[in-house]
Amino acid sequence: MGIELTLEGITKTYGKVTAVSDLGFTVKPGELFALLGPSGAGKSTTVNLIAGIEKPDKGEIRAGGRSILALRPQERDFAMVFESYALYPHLTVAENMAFPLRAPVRATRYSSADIQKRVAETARMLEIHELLARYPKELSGGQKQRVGLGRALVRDSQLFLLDEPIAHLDAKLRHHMRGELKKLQKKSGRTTVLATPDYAEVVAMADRAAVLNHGVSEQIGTPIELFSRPANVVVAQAIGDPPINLLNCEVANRDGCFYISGAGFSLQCNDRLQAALRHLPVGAAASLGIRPSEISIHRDPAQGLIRGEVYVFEPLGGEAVATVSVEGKLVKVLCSWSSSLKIGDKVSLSFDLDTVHVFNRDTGRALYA
Amino acid sequence: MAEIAFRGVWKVYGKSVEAVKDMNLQVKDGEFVSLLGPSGCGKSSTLRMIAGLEEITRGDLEIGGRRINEVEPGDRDVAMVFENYALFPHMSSFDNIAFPLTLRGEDRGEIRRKVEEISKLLDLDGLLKTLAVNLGGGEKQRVGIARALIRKSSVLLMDEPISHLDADLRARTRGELARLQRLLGITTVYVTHDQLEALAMSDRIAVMNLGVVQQYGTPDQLYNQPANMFVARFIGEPPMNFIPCTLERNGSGRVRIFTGGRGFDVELGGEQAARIDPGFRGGEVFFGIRPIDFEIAGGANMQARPSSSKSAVKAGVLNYEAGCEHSFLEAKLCEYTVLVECAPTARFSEGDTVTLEVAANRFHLFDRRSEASIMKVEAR
Repeated sequence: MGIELTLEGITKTYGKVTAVSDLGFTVKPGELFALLGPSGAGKSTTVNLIAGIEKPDKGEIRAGGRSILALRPQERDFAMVFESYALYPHLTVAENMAFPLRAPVRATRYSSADIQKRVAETARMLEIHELLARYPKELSGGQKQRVGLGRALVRDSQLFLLDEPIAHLDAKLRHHMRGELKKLQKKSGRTTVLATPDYAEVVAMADRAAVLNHGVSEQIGTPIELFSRPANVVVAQAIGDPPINLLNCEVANRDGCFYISGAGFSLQCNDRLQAALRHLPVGAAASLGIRPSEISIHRDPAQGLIRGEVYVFEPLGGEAVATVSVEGKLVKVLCSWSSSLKIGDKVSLSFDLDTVHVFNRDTGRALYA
Repeated sequence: MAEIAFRGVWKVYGKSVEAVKDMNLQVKDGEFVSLLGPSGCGKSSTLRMIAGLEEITRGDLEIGGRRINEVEPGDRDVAMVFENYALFPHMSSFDNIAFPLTLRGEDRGEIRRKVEEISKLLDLDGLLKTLAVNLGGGEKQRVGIARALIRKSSVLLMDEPISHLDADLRARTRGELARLQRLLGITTVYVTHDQLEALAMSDRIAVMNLGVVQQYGTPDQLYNQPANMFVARFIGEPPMNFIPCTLERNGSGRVRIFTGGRGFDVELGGEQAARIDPGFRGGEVFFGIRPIDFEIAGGANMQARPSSSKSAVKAGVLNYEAGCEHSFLEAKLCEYTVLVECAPTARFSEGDTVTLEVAANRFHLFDRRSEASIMKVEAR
C-alpha cells in the first residue's frame, strides 16, 4: 500500500533564483498527484526534493507521518523515473530492469525466479518483452523511456516519482501508456507524484494536481476543478489547447443589470455572471475568459455575439483552429475542418454565457458567485 | 511567375545512396507546399536542390519555366530560412535584416524603408536595435524570415523553421507564417516532419518516404483519401487504426469484409460498395479507421442497442482516458486493440461493452500486400 506524503512550506533557492517558494501539499495514500507547469515552474526541483537529491532551504517533508529530510536518497527508497532514461549502457534491457532488485540492500528480498517473473510481467505490460536481450544503444528513444519506467515499476517501492515519464513517446503509445500507467498505479495502490508540462496527461491520469508557476503553487484540485473552476488566469491558461482566450472588458451596471463590454462586444450578464461580478471592486478592470472549444463560429456576421474577421484558418485533421481578429485582438476557435474559412472572411462568434469565466484583471483572480 | 517543376529529378549521394528518386512535382505560383516525412525521407535534399545547395544528379528542375540545374544559388531568385536561424549574433536585428541589401550595395535610405516595411509585417519594429544574441527563439526566427523576405525573391524555402520552438510559440508562429505567406503570395516550399504543421499551413503537401513521394495533394485529400498505409499512418493524430480483414465480393455487387475470428463482419451494398475500386477482386485487406471516426452507440451500464446495420460492432473497453477537448477509449475489437475518440463528457470504465459504429464514408481499405488504398479516388 502507498504512503501519505506531505510537503510543508518548502522553499528552495539556487543562488539568487528561487526555484520553489513556500510549497505545500499532501498526497493521500494511493493517490496519483500531478505537478503541472511549464519548464522552469519548479516541477523537477520538487521531485528532486522529495527524492532527496536536493535539500530544501526551508520546510518539512513527511512520508508516512515521519520527517524524511534527514534520510539520504537510497534510504528513502522511492522509485524514480527520469525523462532522460538514465540506463546502464553495458547492461541489457532485462539486466537494467532487474538492477534495482539485485541492489545489495535488497539482495535478500527477491529470489532469482521472482526477479525473472517481475521483469517479464513488467516488460509485457510496457510492450518491451521482445527487447529484453537488447542493449540501450539498440533502442529508440521511446523504447529507452519504457525501459526506464520498467526499472522503476519492478520494485515494491512505496512511492513513485515520475518526471515527464512519457514525454518522448509517439502519439499512439502515449495514449496507451497513459491508460496502462494509471491502471497499474491504481492496481498497485502506490502513492505517485507525476511531474509533467502536458495538461492532457494530468486530465487523463491524475486524481489531483498542483498547478505550478515560477515555483509557486497556484491551485490544487482535481483536473475537473482546475478546468471548470480555475482560481486565476494562470490556472485557466495552463489547462486546455489552444489556451483559453482572454478579452479585456469593462463592467457597467445599468439599472441593476450588469453588462460586460470590450472592443467589439457588449454582453448582458446572466444571473451567474452577475453574482460573480459583485465581487469585483467598483472601477476595477476585468477580463473575460472563453475557451476555444466553447465558441461557435458563424459565417453570418449578425448571428453571433461578437463580430470579427478571420486572421488565419488552420485545419489540423478532424478539426481546425480558426483565429479571428476582434478589433485587433486575436481569438482562437476550435471548429470543424469543413468550416474552411479564408483570411479576411467576416464572421461572428457565439458562446454560452454559462461557460465563460471572468477575472479581476489587476489581480488575475477568478470571480465566482 | 514562380512555379517550380521537378521533372524526373534524382539525388544520389556517392554511388548508390538514393536520397530522392524520380521526383515529379509541380508547385504553382503563390502556392504553399510542404514536404512532409520522417528523417531521412529526402525532404531536405529536395529543398536544398531548389536552393542550389545540392547538385541535381539526374532530371530537370525548373523555376518559372527556366531550367536551373546549373544556375548558381545566388542567381536562382530564391530565399531560404534555416532551422538554426544563421543570424550574425553581434549585429542588430536591423543590420541582420538589411544584410542582403547592404551586400548588394543598395541605397541606405532605400534599405531603411524596406527594413521598416518588412519589420512591421513581422511585428519586429520594436526590436530593430536589439542584438541578435539577445533575442528570444521566436524573435530570432522572425528576424531570419524578415531577412529572407527582404530580397523580394520569388521563391521562399524553409527547412523546419519552427520545429525547436516550444509548443505555445510554435502554434502561434505557425499561424503567423501561414498568414504572412497568403498575404505576400510568395511561392513557398516548407520542409517539416510535423504533420500538424503541414496540415495547418499548406495548400498542398507531398508526403515522402525513402526518397519517394507517396502522395501529393491538399490536406483534405491526404487526410480523407490517403493513397496508401504510409500516408494514412503519417497524417492524423492519434493515427488511424488498422484491422486485418478479408474482402469478398459476391455476384450481386455486394462486398463482405470480415476478420478471421468472429465479431467483425461487415456487408456493404450499393453506394458503399461502389466506393471500392472495382479492379480489386478480393483478398487480404486492412480496414482503416481513424479514432475520431468511430461513433459510440452503447455506453457504460447501458444495454448496447441491437443494431440492424452490420457496420456496428461490439468492443470491450480496456482503458478510458479523460480529456478536456476529447476523451479516448482503448477498446478490444475482436483480438485487436483500437483507439476511439469520444466526447469529453462521455464516461466509461474498464470492462464496459460499447457498440462502435462506423459511418459509411469514414473507413478506408488497403491491399494488405501492396499497402495501397483500394478506395476509388473521389473528386474533392
